Amino acid sequence: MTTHTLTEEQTLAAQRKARIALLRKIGSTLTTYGLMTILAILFLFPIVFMIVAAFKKEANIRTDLTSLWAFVPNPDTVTLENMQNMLDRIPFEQFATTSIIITFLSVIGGLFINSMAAFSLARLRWFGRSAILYIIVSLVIIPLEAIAVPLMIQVSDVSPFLNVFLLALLGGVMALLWSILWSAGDAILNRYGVDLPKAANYIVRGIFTLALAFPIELTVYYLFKQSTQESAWREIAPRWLMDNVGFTADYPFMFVMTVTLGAATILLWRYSWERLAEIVKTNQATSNLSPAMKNIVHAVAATIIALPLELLFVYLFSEMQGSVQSWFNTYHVMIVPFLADPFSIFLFYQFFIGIPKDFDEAATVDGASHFRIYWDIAVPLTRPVFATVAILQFLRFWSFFMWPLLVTQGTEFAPLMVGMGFLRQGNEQTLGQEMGYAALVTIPVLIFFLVFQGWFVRSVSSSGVKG
Amino acid sequence: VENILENLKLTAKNIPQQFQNRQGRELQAALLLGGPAFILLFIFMVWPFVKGIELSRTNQLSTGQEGRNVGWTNFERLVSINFITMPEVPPRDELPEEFTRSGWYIGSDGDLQFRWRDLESQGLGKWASDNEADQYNIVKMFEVSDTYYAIIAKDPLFWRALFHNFYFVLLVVPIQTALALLLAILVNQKLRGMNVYRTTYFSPVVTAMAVITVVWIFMYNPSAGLINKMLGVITGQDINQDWIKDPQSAMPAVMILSIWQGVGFQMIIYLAGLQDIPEDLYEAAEMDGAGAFGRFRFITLPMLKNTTIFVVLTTTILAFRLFDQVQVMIAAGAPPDSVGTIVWYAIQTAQDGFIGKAASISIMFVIIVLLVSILQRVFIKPENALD
Repeated sequence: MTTHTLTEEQTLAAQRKARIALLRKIGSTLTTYGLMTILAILFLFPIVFMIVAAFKKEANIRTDLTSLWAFVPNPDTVTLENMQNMLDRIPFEQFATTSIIITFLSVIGGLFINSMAAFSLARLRWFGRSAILYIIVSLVIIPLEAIAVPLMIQVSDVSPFLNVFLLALLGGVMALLWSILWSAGDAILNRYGVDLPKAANYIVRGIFTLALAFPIELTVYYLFKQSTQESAWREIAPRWLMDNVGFTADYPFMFVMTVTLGAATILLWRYSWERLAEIVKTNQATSNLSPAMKNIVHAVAATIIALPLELLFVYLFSEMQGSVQSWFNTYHVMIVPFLADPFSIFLFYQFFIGIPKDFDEAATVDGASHFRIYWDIAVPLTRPVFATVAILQFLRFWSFFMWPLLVTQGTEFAPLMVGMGFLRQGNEQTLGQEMGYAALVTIPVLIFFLVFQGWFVRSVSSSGVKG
Repeated sequence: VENILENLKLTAKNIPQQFQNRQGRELQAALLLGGPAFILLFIFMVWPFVKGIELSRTNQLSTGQEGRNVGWTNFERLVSINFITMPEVPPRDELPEEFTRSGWYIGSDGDLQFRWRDLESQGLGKWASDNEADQYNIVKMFEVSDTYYAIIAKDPLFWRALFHNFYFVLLVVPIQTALALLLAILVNQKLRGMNVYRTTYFSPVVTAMAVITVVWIFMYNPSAGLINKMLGVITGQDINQDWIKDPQSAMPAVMILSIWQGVGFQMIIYLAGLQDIPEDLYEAAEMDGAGAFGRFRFITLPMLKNTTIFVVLTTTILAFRLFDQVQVMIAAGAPPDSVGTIVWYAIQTAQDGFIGKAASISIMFVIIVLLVSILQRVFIKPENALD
């Protein structure tokens, strides 16, 4: 009897305890949600305020400040007036074009250049590899702010040799792109079982290559657009191209020159290397050299042979360009110096080093070139790191502010971040316009972020863990 | 059959050659693949860095003109700093209203001020003649029991910039790190809707600093600013704080904005660290009767040690690189004397045309960043060392 009641009491006590625990749990969950919601409001209110104010009249922005209408769009007062006024006053679309060109070219070009460099560091054995690797790792800690001033001096007076050299580099990358597209066209035709006669096959692949390369060719044109540069080649350009397509004359010339020059230099370099290797092999005097020494001899000698071609182009270009050697007020001054990025190389390196060695040994036995291994094995296996680098570089170049401020004057080449400064000129009340500008810059990126937020978060966390 | 044998012999003969060639081919491929990046890095990072050291020892003016080598003068001017006792203040009624020649006077706002000229007549005779005192200026003056002391430097703005950077680091780094950890722990809970909160806290990171600063400047506006109005609604008073132009509150305004924009980044890094902590550690601790705080103190914090060091040091470097916010705020009327930072000062000097001096300020900046990076290398064990 007594035991029975005790158990009953115990059950009651246990029940009460469980209820209290449950209540406590609900309470703490609610507190957590409350705290997090307050924090969320603190984080969101500037953005919400900006977007709402962007679509309001100047007077309404001020009167709504103390009411909730500061954060909630009021259907009665929504207007595009700010945007219209802003677009009338400053060339917003020009700023946006600049920003898009800079960001797009830097990110895409950087992905190519940095991943190739990381591949050569991680997957190939060659003399000087570890030295360069250590230099790159120590370059990671040098921020742009530290070298901005001397870099500015450097780009204010670029020697014709460097100009042409970089053109050659670009030409090489373009030739590479063409060859990739050319073989990709073949692969696509094969995949869908299309069997064409040789001539038709070449035509289809040619069209495919040109069509895909066209946007990039177009950006090359923009790359060399310079406000102060009046090219003498304008005279000989086909008129219809200028009248109908809107190209200035120097575009086709520059483009053809670029690709030819780059491809020619690289081909000549490779060809001299091969020939030299044969000569050195049969020569008595050099047969005792170690393999590493021989390779150095090849590289140096091939460079010496390829150099006159380069110098010839230096001469031609410096004649053509006249005295203009400053990179100020161009697009490429905001792209080329930042294409190679030590941190990106480092991120790529860490992923490439993780691919098992058997993969490329098997491929080497099958006769694949190193570039094939990079393109067909390393790149597909490391897609996530490409996304990571692309996102981190995107955030960096989209909000690029200090460097464009130093190297651009006026509105023609100013990106969005610098262009905003032009809104403040004059005595007009421009708060609404400023909010409109800020909203137009921020909203696309926010949407992009919301769609790919998982990738953003992964990028940031992988940038942090390794350091 | 003979043909085949002949071929085989040839192949066998070729094998060592091919092996030798392979090294050559690898080097060739490495140079073709990596060459562009290595060359660009050399031209646009290594070379400017070396050139910056050279420039910092010249008096080069605006772009394009060659400067003369002036040795360490630029650095000597930057680092010259001294602490002095100011001359005695004459009785209040003897002080001139406006400065007549030199010495103490009453400024237009009724404050006691000092005109820094002609020092030998002001009781600083010996020190002044020994130390080229006419090149110095007051950085900061303060009063201890009726005696005035002053920190003086040849380049007061540089020291103020340095001070602003350290002020920013000392306040922002601890607050931002703690807030990031708090947010990460909150978001890491196994509750519904955490993704939404994570996205919310992270969203300021994707906004561009130069643009979002303009939005904040509007919110900091004294008469029409959201922040004053909201504070007014909360406190019931009319608040007219001019956040940007008031020297006292300009730097805190920059700090609030920077923390708001940057904390999401650190939160994600902490989140990655939190998710690496094995779950059974917590379970074991719970069985041993550890409370929420105990688990945080004895498991979370020690396990996050490396992450914390990383976050603190990268935030420190970012804080020393502070530029965008400051530039936009100064353009909007914030006093450079109370928000200017080292990078801002270097860029400003370069835009004013003093390239040699700007380069030497950049070098000072590099030295600070290098020191912080060395700290980072010392504190973080090399978990994944190269090779």
